[in-house]
Amino acid sequence: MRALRLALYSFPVAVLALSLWAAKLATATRTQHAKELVAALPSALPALNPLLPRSEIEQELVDLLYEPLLRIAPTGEIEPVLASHWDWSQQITFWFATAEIANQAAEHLRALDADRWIALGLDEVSTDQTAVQLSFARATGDGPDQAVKELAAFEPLPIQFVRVRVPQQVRAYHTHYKENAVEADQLRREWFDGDQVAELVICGSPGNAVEELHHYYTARPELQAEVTVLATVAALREPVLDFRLREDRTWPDQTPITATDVIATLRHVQQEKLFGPNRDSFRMIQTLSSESTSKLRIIYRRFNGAALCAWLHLPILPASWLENQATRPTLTPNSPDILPPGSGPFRPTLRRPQSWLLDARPGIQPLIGRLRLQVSSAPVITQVGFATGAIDVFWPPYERIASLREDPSLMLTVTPPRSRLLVIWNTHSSCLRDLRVRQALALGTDRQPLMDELVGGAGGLHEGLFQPNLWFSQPSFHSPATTPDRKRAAALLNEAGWLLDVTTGLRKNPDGPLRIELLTTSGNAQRERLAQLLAAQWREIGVETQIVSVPWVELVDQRLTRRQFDAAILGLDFETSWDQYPFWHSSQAGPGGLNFSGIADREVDRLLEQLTVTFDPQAVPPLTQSLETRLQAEYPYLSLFTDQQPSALRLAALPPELDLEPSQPITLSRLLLRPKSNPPTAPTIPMRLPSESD
Amino acid sequence: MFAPPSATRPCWLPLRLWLGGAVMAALFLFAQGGSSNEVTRLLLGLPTSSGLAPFAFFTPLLHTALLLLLTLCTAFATAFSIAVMSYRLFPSSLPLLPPIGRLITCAPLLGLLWLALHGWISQTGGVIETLLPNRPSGFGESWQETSARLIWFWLAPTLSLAVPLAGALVAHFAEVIIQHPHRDLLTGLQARGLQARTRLDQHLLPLWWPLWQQHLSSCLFVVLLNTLVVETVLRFPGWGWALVTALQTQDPRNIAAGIYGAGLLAALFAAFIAPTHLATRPATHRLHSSRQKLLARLTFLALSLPILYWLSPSTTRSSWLPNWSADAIAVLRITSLAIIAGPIIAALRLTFLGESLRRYGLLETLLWSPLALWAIIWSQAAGGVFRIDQTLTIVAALALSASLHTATRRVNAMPHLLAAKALGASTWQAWQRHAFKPWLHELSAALLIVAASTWWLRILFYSLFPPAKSSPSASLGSYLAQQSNAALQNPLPLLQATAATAVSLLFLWTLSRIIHSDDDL
Repeated sequence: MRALRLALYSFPVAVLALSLWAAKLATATRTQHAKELVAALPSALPALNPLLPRSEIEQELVDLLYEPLLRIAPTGEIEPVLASHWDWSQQITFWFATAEIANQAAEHLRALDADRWIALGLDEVSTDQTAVQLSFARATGDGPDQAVKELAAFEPLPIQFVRVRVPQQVRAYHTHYKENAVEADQLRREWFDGDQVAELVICGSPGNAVEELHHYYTARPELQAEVTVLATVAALREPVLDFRLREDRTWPDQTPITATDVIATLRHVQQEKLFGPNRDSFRMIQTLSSESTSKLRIIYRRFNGAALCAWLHLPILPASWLENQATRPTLTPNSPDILPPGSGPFRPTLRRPQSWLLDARPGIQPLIGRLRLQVSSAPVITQVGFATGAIDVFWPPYERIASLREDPSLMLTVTPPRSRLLVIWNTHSSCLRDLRVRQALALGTDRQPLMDELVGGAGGLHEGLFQPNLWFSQPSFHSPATTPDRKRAAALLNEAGWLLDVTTGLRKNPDGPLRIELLTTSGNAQRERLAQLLAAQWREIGVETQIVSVPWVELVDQRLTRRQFDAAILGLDFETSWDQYPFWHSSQAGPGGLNFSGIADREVDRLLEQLTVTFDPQAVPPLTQSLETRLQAEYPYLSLFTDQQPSALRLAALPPELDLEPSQPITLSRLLLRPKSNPPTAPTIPMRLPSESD
Repeated sequence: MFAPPSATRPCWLPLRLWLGGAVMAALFLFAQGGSSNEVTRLLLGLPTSSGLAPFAFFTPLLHTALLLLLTLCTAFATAFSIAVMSYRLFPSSLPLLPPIGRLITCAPLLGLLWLALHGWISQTGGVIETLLPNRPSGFGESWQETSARLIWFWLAPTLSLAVPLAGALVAHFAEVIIQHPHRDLLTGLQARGLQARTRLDQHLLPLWWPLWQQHLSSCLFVVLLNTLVVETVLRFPGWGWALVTALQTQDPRNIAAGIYGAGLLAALFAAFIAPTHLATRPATHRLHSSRQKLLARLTFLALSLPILYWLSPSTTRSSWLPNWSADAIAVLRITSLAIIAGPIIAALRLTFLGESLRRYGLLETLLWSPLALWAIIWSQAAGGVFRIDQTLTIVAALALSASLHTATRRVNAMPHLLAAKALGASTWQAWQRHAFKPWLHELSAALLIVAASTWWLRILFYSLFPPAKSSPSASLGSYLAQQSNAALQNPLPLLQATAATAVSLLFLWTLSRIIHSDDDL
């Protein structure tokens, strides 16, 4: 019994001692992670398709692991990353009846004096059998028109743009046509818009390829093909975008990053149809070529200066990896080896089902050299992890923001806004046709309570069309253009003839009550609640709102596209492209177009057309400012708030040299990497003639 | 809490518990539309649905079995050490141990656990491995660090479970030492010149030891129920967390697996303790002199509740009291119904069918089964058909009927009752004059213990499955669950609610001891 007694005495002591030792060491292991940032992910480790990140967190990881040709710098300007610089230019192609005439035309241009070449902006003249190709230094200007006049005497052959529409697969039939057509040589350009439409550029003699094309398809009536000649011109003008790649950038295996990698990435995007926001202009690419490993040339079909924006933040992947991609399994969190290698500042070094380790690549001097991502399966785990110091960064749900604001040990920030919620008005609706009604609804909307209830105050107010903090988005639009003023809203409605019925508290005119139908997406609780809150606010100024929840497909394909709505709540990604033609031009206002509000304004149209052909990014801001101001006055939509992912940072984990402000959006890159110092400016050397020496 | 009387323990208890769990799991699965194939697979421990790992049933069960083993050893050794050390070194402190131990046992474990987490995490910055994102090895850790994390992974839930169990055990151990008639023996041993160590090791401990061991078996149900709380709060990947998750997601196959697992664990627990069980209860004497102390304690507890209310900050004062009232009213209702149903069930035992069933000890098996756990499971899983108050009423009635039966048998065996009959008193007269009062006292005390147990279970249920926020005054359990979300920052509301519960339950227990003092209650 004595031995048993002693054993029983010593057991709790041993358990207690072991517990203290284990707890102390486990605490030290978990909490002392200097030079390491531990982030808790709210869900499973992402599969992380770098070309199509599905969330803000994935986008931030992609920015750490991969590099694009160009990106938006923290200052909001375009910053070259893998590309050292880029140039827009254009080329014009003429086709002549014979090679001899083509040579004569080329010689004629070459014979022009240097001043004339400079006036034309001409860079190069080249011939290829019956074709003459002129290269111009700039994508805009009247030089190309003057060059056409210069060569008019040589009678260039007319060029026809032909559209072929086949309800079935057009590619197979077009290939068959090309293989059998007598005039196949006259097909100068081919381009496919999806699976049903082909656009062809046809030019040549002596036969008529267009007629042969007609015959080919009319002989197959079962195809129900439509062959349409869109236009006939004297010369083919095409914009050209040239990238020069940095030669010092390499993949993890030390092979250089070349133009072939960029081409392979773009081909992959096109084949897999990974067209994210602003990447639609990739569909307009006619040809991709590289003269050398560091030079990339992209020829577009249409003049659109904003096509450059599609290259912003497009991660470049190795061609060798993409070639083998077809034989690889689908990306999963448990298979780190199938993540494409990247050239970003961080590289994955270890991946487990619940954890992921990213280390700074050699040569980088980061603020924090290691990022550890850990899956936090429940809010309580994140809460405890943060309280004990085992987690430094997490992305809290909106409902926890209020309590986190009171915690002095953390900084609550938001990620940069990438989307926002808005109400789009149908300006042709009977109730909303009057500008004063739209203005009154804007004045009757208090957005702060909406933001507080729906996103815990983590959103932002931004009136403009474009993503805030871009070089061409206007700072004045970052603050609300209209502050809630219900008295003024009531006055405007009275002025518009909508008078208050004191018995019901609602407004009406002789034709009927002021009732608008507000469409929202069914199954989306946040949107449905938003609709209720808006209806309650508008009820206070006497506007009756009927909320209609419809599925997203029906909302877009039937109600918006056919203009069968008064108002609709939409969540849209911010535009990082300055080309807004499809969304606001009057030509798109009819059913089927994307100008859902139906706004039609001559000045807006002019600005949109001008923006489309603006190739110089620095020329964009005045135009976008004018456009936004003009649109603002028309009230085609009511901007509600931006959708921003809140993130919580442990203050003690941040390096002292990091200067953060809670009001500024913060990303993982910002936390881990040192901000780039401005390069020293080169001294200005005055240009003087030899005779002007001191 | 609903501990069955030791005398009613049936033979082959582990086998009965395992079979009982299997029958209940099969019934549940059939009731939820399960096929016979699924039931067979469940009883064989095979996955009942595709996509589950082959050992999905056994892995959490093994985790919990090991956890329970560690808990049992730790709690028993701790309680033993405290009781014996107090006896040897500070004998005057021995009477303090029972109320302290009972207070720890009566306090809702959810509240205690979150208060401990607040102290450990927020005050000392310590970690709990199971409450952190999973960190696999391979991140440059030394073997000491990996071992420490693994040990702490097991010991944190072990300590969480062991503390309330040790509280219950130490209370009992101390009471055994206080109540055991060893004074004469001790005097004799002292007179023989034996050393204190020898007296303890060779004479006293062998006397107390069987009584202590015997008490372990009645802790089975409390330990199983506490496992649900500890594993859920600490997210320990065992049977308890799996069952609570299944109940929250209303997954009938996993719930059935949880019921079956409970049967297996109970059987293992009973088998582990079986060698220590005694067929007869060793003699103890009652300390009638302690009634005054009990009355003083009762008065103190009765005053504690209003003091606790008035000491609360005005912001939280009105928040826990409605929940406390809701609990009190519900417990009163349940106990009232049990007073009616209990005697009916007891009377059924006297019928022909009841007599036949007694031959196989079916009612005893039922009493020794984890009834409270089944009640919780059926309340949560039956889709609103059974509410917790209804199932608790059934459990309370069964417990009361068992107490009624035991009390009647005990009173019938009283010598002076037999003597009265021998002297010519009729059965009724003998009962009225000699047996009715102690019988009524014993039953009243049992009723109070049933009320306290019901209250404790009701709080446990609502702390695991709190209703929607729209009905905040359901129970102190739901209040505890709500407050536990903010416990790391502000533990005060949790502390008040936990203290209020502990004081209330201890009040009922003390009252029952004043009315009737018996260890078997």
